[in-house]
Order: sequence, then structure tokens, then C-alpha cells
Amino acid sequence: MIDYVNAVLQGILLGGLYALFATGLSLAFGVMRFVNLAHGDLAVLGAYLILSTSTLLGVSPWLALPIVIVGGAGLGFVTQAGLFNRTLGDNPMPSILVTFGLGVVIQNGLLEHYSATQQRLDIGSIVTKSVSFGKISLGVLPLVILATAIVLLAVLEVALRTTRFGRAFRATADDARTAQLSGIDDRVMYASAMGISFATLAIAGFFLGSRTTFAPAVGPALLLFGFEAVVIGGIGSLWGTLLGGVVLGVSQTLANQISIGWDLLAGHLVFLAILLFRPNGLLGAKQ
Amino acid sequence: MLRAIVGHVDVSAGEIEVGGSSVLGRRTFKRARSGIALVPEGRNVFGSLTVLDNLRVGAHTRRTGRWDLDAILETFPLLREHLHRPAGVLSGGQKQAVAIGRALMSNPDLLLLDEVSLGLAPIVVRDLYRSIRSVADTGTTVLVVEQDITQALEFADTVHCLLEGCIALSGRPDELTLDEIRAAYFGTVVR
Amino acid sequence: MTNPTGFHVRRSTATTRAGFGVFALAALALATVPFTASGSTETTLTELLFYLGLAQMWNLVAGYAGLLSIGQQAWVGLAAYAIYFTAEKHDLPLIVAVALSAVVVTVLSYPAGLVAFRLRGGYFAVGTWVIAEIFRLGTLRIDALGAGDIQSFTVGRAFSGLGVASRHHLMYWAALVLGIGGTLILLGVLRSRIGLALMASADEEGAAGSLGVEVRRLRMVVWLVAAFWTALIGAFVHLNAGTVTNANAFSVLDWTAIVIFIVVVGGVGSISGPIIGTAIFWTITQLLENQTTWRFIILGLLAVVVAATDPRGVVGLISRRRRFEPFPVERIVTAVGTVPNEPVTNEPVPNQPVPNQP
Repeated sequence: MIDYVNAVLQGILLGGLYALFATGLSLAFGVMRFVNLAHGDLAVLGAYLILSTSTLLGVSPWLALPIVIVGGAGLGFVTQAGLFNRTLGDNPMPSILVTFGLGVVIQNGLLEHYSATQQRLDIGSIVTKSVSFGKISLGVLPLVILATAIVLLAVLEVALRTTRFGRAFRATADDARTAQLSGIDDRVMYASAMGISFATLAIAGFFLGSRTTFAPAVGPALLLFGFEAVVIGGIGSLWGTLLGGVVLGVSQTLANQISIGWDLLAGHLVFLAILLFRPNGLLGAKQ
Repeated sequence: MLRAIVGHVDVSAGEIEVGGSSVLGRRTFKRARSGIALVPEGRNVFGSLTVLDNLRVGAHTRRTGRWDLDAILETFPLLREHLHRPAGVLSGGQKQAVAIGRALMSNPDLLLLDEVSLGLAPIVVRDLYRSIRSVADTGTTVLVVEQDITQALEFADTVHCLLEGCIALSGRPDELTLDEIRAAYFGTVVR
Repeated sequence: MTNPTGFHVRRSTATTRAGFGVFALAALALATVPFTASGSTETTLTELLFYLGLAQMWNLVAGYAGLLSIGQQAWVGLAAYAIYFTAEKHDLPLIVAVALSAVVVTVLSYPAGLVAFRLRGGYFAVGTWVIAEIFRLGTLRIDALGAGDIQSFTVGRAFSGLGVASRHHLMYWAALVLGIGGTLILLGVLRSRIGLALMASADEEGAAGSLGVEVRRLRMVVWLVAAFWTALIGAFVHLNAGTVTNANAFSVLDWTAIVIFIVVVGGVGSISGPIIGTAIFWTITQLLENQTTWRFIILGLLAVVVAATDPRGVVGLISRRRRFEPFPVERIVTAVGTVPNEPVTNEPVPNQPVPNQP
């Protein structure tokens, strides 16, 4: 029994990481109905950029992180304004092809530059620390990751609710043409959304790289996990994204507890089940 | 025609001038920032935003003037009790009031209204026109395009009837007879 | 095809007659390659023809039926396992093994389609990817298929008694039939009522009532046809390779990304696009001398640029100068008895509504 409780708790913590991957996807989809298929590869790129920045400057990844967050935000803004905005429209084909192609290019570019060797971000002794409650022991780093996801989502949620910029975001998501009539530049909104999305990817990449090892090829799996978290939670709901990440994480750890090796398959199957029986997700609005 | 003025549809020939300067080649949001506000046909409100947020989005341009939240609520008192409800659940007349209020929040020099009365009860239309008249009285230029002109005529300063894109008839409402207008059917201007 | 309303519908033009002639001659010339060309040329062409077949099938589902699948690797991977099971484990004759494999995969693609068709646009794309992952992980859990996280097994019994050269020839002709056949399947579907209905409805996602049901049915037909043919290619690819490994058999990069890039660069929604795309793919592969990562990077960048600028690819560039479609799929309508000035065509543009013929 205690094993199952432990599996659920570990799953919740794992869900924090998935929620971090999903936040940027959720935001971009919410504002502009844009599915960025390069999302997972960009998270891996973020991890490598933190690695390189910290090596180059000879500083801890903790110090490299803010640099990559700011750089990522700029890169996201430019990528959306210069490339992704060209693909927006009623036909989803160009955006899917462009982001899918970009993902493959990033993945192979990383492979070419960094090779397929597994890498890890060395962020100090926090990795090995844990807190124990009887027979259950929770890693401090996973707890930090979950807390980061919650704080990040809360900040975004409050910003969307209360700021002038947030209102403009929601208005654009609701009806971009009408938002233009109020003086809102929808293209700048989209570029800003992607900037924020890339910035969250830097954070996600940082925790990915410090929690486990990473290599260029893991990008697509991260995309699928993030996407599944968004859909399970419900599109357009940031708290749903957190819930979706947790449900996905718990499905995986619980399945692995029952029978080793079934974690990924179980996660995908839970996603399919939600898709079939609750297409709007757990917290999504009815259409 | 109004969609061309705000830039939602492209103009193939001719010129659009507002306040003496051309607006062609400028994107919609820039035209909005320069003081042109359109209330589109179909009362497009941001359905998932509250009425209050809808109005605040209208102030996005940060143009200042006599229109602020209090002034809007004075002109459209019916919105006061719905401020925190999502705009999507309001009735047609209430949505139209939100849409006009949102446009006014940008303190426009020129307010364009497309088919204000479409699908609304006559009594609601009457209230809306009364409010629009009071807006025009504050010095904002208001251009209303209407097919159902019976109510609009009462409140208009000047009427232009468009037939196949050309002005077929112009004048003050009291100088024109309904028959004349019927002959040259389309559109009105309040000043 | 003559219409009693006073219109004359024809499909062939000078371009299509010449184009089809060139295609037929090229196919004939290709059939003689095992007798005329070197072994390395034969091997290269085998790979290219497999890719042509895969590309035409993705073109069919994505370019014409609007189903942007990123899960086609599922059918290749499942076919690899099926061919191992039938040809190697149970020693069935080659033809029976291949046919059985493709049928089994097609049956499995049906429920996958039912689930995926509930999704739209980007969701469909990622959804099909997830479904392919489910199949991949599923094969890892089935003991009868040799479950275990790392899998590699040989497929060779089907060829016992054949020399290396004859084996290569056999694979080459199979690839030729699959590549040319894939092109002809696309041609056949497009000339049929299904093609016309798909092209007319590609943009009407929300088509309601009986029309919507009909469109969904036609999309399913196209989906199953593509899964079947992709599985046939997958079976032969793995017979040719001689080994099956889980990661390679279900590789999204090898069986879907490259295929998508070929179609997109050449021109999605046109029959000649994938042929041109395959030629470009070959050129890049030759220039890079098997540096596979650079192959992905350059082909991927080309595809990104094409998709972001003119989604009609190289075919679109050629069409700017003059109408270019060497395959007779268009219906060119001229009014009988009047001076035919500009002929009205229903040139197939991907995901654009096309006017029905009068």
C-alpha cells in the first residue's frame, strides 16, 4: 500500500515537470490556436543553451538560467514575428509543417553540435537532498520543480486577469479581428505569447537537465507529454494544464508500480481515454 | 464600406480620408489608435471576458478624453449591474451597448456603427439611439450605417443614401420625405 | 466524358499527354535497371522508390484529404513486426506474408483512424503521433513479438535459396512497383469520384449532415488505402534491410519527417510534387555523402522555407510561369459552341475549395 502512495506522490512531482513543459504550449494554443510541434525540441535546446552558457562563462547553471530565459523570450518573439506569424490562418497546414520541420532541424542540429552523448546540468547538492515522512521520501528538487510550476502558472494567471497586457491577450484569443478595432496589434500579441512560451521552455529545460540526463533525441517525447497535459487538463485553462501534468505523471508512476515498463504506454492511453470520453479535458470549458 | 475604413477589407481603388489624412496602407490597429472606432455588425463582444474587461480593452489605446468607465456607465446604465458577468451571456441589446461602450472607451474622433438595430427589439433600438445621440452631442463624429432607417432618421443630423456605392441623396432628415429616401434607399449619418 | 448541358469536359492536355508519356517511358527504363546499372545505383534507386511510394501516400492523406498525419511511421513499424512474425517466425511464403502483414496493419489503422478523426489540425497531427507511439510501445510489451526494451531480429528466411544479386533485383522491382504503384493509386483516386469529393470538401471541415458523413467516409477510405500501401512498403523495407529494431522501425524521422519534407519541398497536393521532391532528396543525399544529420537539417530547412512562403513547393514555382501538371487529374471544362477563351479548370490546390464541374 505504501508503495502505491509513494507512486502517486512521485507522480504528482513528475507532473510538475510536465506542467512546466505544457505551460508554453497551453499559452500559445490559448492565444492563437497555434500548436508548436517544435516545443519539445526547443526545451532540449534550452537545456543545451544553459549547459553551454554555464560552461562558457564558468558559472553555475543557476546563473546561466536567467540569461537563457531572457534570450529565449527574445528568440521566441522574433521567431513568431518573423516566421510563425506567416503561417497563421484558417488552414493549419503551414503552421504544422513549419513547426514540425523546425523541430527536426533543431534536433539534428543539436545532434551535430553536441553529439548523442547524454548530458546533465550540475546544479549542486540539491539534486541528492530529500525529505522523509516515515517510509516515503520526496526529492527536494522535484518539490522545487512542482513549486516552480505552480508559481509560474499563478503568475501567468494573475497577469492575464489583471493587467492591461493580459486583457489584450484574452481579447485577442477571443476574437483577434475585433481586438484590432480596439487598437491591439494581434501580431505583437502573438509574438509576445511565443516569447513567454520560449521563456518557460528555458525553465523547463533547466529542470529537465538537472533532474535527469538529456540528449537531442528526447525532444519529441517532451512535446507529447506537454501536449497530453494540455489536453487532459482542458484547453484554455492554465490550472487545467497543471492538473493535466499531474494526472499524466501519476498515470505513469502508478502504472510502473503495477507493472514495470508500462509507464509511457499508460500515460498515452489515459490521454486517449480523456480525448474520447472528455474531449474538453478535465477543467476545459464546454464548447 | 465601414470595414474598408477600419481596414478589415482591402480597397482596390480610391481614397479614404479621415480628418484630412489618408488612412490607406495603415493596419487596422493603427487606424484604431488614430481615433477611428468601429462597432461592427453582429455586436462582436469578447464573450469570455467580463463586461468590465471588455470596456477596459476598449481603453487599450490609452487615448484620453471625456469617455471613461464612469461616463460610459452613465450613458449605458443598464451595464452597471452586469459588470462582472461574461459578456457572452448578455442579451443582444446589452451586447450592443458593451460594443458601443468599448468603442467609446478609446475616445475616438470618429465612431462608426454598423447595423445597430439588426436583430434587436424596437424599444431596445430606441434606447440605443438615444444614447448614441447623446454621444454625438458631446462632439464625437458618429457615422451610422443602417438598413432599417425609421428610428435612425429621428436622431440623425444628416442622411446620405447610397445606391450601388454612390451617394444618391443627401440632406437633413426633416428636409427629406420617406418616399424620397425609399427611392434612394441605404444608410444614414448622424452629426 | 461529355456532358449534355453543352459543356465538354476533358482531362488531357498536350502537357498531360507528354507528361504521362515521359512517366511511362521512365517507368520502363527503370524496370531495366537491374540489367543495365551498377549494384550501388540499384540500391540507391531502391531506397528512392520506397520513399516515392511513402511520399505519394502521405501526399494522398495530407495534401488531398487534409489529414496531416505525423503517425505514418506506425504503419511501417507494425508492418516490420508483422513481416517478422509471418515470414520469419511462421515461415509463410513471401507473397502471402507480405499481403497478410499489410492487411493486418490496415485493420489496425481503422480504430486508429476512428480516434484520430475526432481531432482537427494541429491536434490531429500530434494525436496521430501519440497513436504511433502507442503502437510502438505496445509492440515492446507483447511477448510473442519478443518483448524487451531493445529488439533486433533478422528477417532472412524468405530469401533462403536466393543469391545476393537476385535478392537485390527482387527488392528493386518490388520498390519500383510500390513507388510507381503509389503514384498510380493517387492518380486513380483523384480521377475517381472520391478525389473530386475530397478536393471539393477539403476546406469544409464542418460539413454537416449527410455530406459530412460522406466526407468522413471518404477520408477513412483514403486513410486505409494509405495505411495499406505504407505497410506494404514497410514490409519490403524491412525484408530488404534484413533486421528489425523497434526504434528504427517506428522512427518518426525516417518514415514520416523525410517523407513530409520530400512532399512539401516538391509540392504538396500535386502528383508530380513528390516525384520532384524525391529527386531533390536524392541530390541532397548525394551531395552530403550519407551524413544523415545534415540531410535532415538541410531538407528540413528547405521544407520550413517552402511551407512558410509558398506551400505549393517546387511545382508551385514552375506553375507560376505556366500551368504545370503532367498528370491528367484536372477536369478542363470548355463550353461547346462558344469561343473558348480561358479554360476553366479545377486545378487541385491543397485544402482549397475547388468549384465543382458544372
